[in-house]
Amino acid sequence: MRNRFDEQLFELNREIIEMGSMCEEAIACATKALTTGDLEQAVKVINNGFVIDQMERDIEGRCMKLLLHQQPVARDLRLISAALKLIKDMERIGDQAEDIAGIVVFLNGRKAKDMELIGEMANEAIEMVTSSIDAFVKKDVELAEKVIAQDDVVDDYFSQIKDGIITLIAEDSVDGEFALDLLMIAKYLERIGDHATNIAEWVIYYVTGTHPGRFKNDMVRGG
Amino acid sequence: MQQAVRVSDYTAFFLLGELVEFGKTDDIFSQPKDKRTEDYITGRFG
Repeated sequence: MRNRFDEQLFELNREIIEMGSMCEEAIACATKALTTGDLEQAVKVINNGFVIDQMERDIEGRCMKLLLHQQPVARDLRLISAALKLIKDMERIGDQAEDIAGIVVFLNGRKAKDMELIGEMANEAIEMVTSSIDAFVKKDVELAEKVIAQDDVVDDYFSQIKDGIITLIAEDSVDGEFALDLLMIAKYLERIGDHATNIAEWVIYYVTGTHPGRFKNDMVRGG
Repeated sequence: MQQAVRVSDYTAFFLLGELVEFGKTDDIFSQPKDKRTEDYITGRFG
């Protein structure tokens, strides 16, 4: 009986990793479209959005089935509950990559001097997502903690870009809509960093049983 | 075993006459400290 359960958990792991790499690809393509103006990449992200959504539903279904059939405890329970939470964050990452791609298509190759900084911010966000998924695969708490710390770097980029956009507006060198589009892209990237942080926190919960920022075991006690 | 989780406040795990682990039911079934407890409640043996 345990063998069958182990096979199902293995499948769950595999599906989460697959969904994670789809999300990584989505942001990488959206960023490439943004920095190079390659609209084909942006369209690819938009077209792949529904695949990530479908994966979330499939994994969710698998988790619910496992909860019902196996009534998991201990590490098994933590894996399944963490999976249910982190697929939501992955799905949001996919959505935000799609939103960025949508803006890139709308901008149609238009550039600003802040683009370079946005590119750097995007690379930082991509690294966070990749590392958070890596941390899950390797059950690596140290790497997950690194991701959580890296969120400050992405937040700093957001502040810098926001200040840059304010200056552009003050100089009257860009129109309002373009300025807002740039700000939206930076905000989406900042949110992607937050979702990667959430994933890293769930990895720590899965491995250690303690969610960072919460008291020991209060997840179960309903604290 | 699920019934024990539902009705108890505290759980003890004995193995071959030895008390392996005792604690709050929530702790034992969410993050047991002893590997033998974990292996038993997750169905890896027994």
